[in-house]
Amino acid sequence: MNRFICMLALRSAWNRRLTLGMTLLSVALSAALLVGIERLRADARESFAEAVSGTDLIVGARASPVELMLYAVFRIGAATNNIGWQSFQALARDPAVTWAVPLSLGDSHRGFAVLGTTGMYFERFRHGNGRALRFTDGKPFEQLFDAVIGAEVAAAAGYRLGQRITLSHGSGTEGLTEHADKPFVVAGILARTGTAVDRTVHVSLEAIEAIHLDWRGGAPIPGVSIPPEFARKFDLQPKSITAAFIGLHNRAEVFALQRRINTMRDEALMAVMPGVALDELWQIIGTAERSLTAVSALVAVVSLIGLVAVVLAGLNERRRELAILRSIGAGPRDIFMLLTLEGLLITLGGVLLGLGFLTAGSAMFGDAALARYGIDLRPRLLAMDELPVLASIVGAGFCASLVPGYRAYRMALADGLAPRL
Amino acid sequence: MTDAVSIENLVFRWQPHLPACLDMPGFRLAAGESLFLYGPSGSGKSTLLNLIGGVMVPERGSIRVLGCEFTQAQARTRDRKRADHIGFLFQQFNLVPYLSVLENVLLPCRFSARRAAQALRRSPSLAAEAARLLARLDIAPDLFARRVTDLSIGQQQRAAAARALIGAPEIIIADEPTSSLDSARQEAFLELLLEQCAQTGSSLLFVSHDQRLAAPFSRRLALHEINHVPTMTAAA
Repeated sequence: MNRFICMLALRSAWNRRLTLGMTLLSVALSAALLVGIERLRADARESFAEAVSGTDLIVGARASPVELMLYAVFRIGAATNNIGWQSFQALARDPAVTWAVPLSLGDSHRGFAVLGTTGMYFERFRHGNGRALRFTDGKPFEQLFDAVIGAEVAAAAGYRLGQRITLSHGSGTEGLTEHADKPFVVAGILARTGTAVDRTVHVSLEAIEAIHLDWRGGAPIPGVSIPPEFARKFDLQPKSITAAFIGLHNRAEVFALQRRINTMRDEALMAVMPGVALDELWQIIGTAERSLTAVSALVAVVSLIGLVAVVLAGLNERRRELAILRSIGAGPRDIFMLLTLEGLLITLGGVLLGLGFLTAGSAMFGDAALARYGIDLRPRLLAMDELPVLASIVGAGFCASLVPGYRAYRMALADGLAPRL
Repeated sequence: MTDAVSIENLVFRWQPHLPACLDMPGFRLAAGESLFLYGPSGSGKSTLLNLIGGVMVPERGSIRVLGCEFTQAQARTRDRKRADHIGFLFQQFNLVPYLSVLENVLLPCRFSARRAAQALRRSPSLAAEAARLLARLDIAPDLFARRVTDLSIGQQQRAAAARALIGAPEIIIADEPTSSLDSARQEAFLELLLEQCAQTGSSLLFVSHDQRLAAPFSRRLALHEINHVPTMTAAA
């Protein structure tokens, strides 16, 4: 008989599908908001964590660990200080170190960051689950003025192999001085990674040095111009770099090495573990995330209040119907169940629809999120860790539905078989 | 044979501080009889029907339905008795709007296994029994699957009668079921109802303010004869 009450609740709800549909939609949107924020958060964290998966330590000038990680890994912000080349070389020779990849930042191309590094970068850099970089076209830089561009750079400007590009001094898109006298040639195009690599132009450290030969203090030296063919004759060993990625033989040594770097006498350096720095970043962002979650929880509460209001409003029109069911033998408990079920069904339906919205949304906007924010939205119908959130929406919906249920129960007792309308 | 309904020294009031609404020293509905109970509005008939239906309980006295003392029984038991043994028929809006005509007629069988079993004793399936009753009450088969709102008032009342009759409950209680029909249809409806009650052997308690309908019943009674509360002070 309980199954029959469920059927009645469904049929009755279907009979009032327009008003209830609107309520369902509002529950669906609030559920999508609540779960969506949670998903975005999880996906952002995962995407960020995967952007540095192969690196044990990031080394830079002493500053805040978050700042170092942001500019070294995500090309966000800029370094305030550099590392001396000598210090980097000393570091690379440390017995604990397997590999050390230097990074030199500061220039840009059409708003994309330019990264000066060595060929080792393409071998050692890992993203995702330890995936290496892959070339869709061309190969690592060989010539001094070769450039390897990320997938996003290639897509944005439609660059192909062999095309000439000019770098700008500094970052941004407007009012930058061009290194127009020393153009680069696209020698390789990297496959999409979903990380900042996609938005980066990679050149050799020597090239960075070369384009700044006739520069001093961030501006070209008036009257001095060294043509590119002569640049090769200069000593192009860099004097400083911005940061370095370091890989160790044995991960257990990471703390010892970190301590050694942080206490180096010659230069004020800092080594951070990417995971630890990310955690610190999330802690900073956490407050904003929590308020976002609080607001969406509030939206869910509002939608559930709307649900109660609609079900209660419907109750008055249904007094006659409930009296008929009473006369046929339905007890007040059955009436209570009928009304509570209605609210519960709408909540459940809303949550399911909301999940559908999310799946459709991440399918529609997934590419944009990846390209623009480097966040890889993973399409999923339902993740296990979302169950508590969903369960609490349904639970709250159930509690809210008890209100019309109880009211109908009281009404059934007072009205009897003949409602006084 | 046990009486269908028997009432002794019953007193009912809505609130403890209000005057009594019903005060009935004695009333009985015998098994198989058809009783016309005359009661203008405000005479307490709705209250009486609620008491017989087991939806409300009196303050004092005894009310037995098919031998079951309702004043002693739990609400659940009374609901069960009502589902199993009583078919109700009201003035209007007897049908659940979102169910089809046939589904409305089948409703009592969903709430009562006993009535479902009795319906199956007559017909091979519940739907067949519902269709049989509807046909007997002059509802064309093409209306069975229709929404109840597509039916005329007269058709709705006949479908409601089929619902009250399905599963052959021992008691049929009809509360002004003809008042929304015109007089020509009133007679025809009454005839059908009485005929079907006789066939199933159900007792019929027919409450109405319209004494012109009283003729075909086996017994006639006025509510004010059995209720000692003056009509004016009685609620609903």
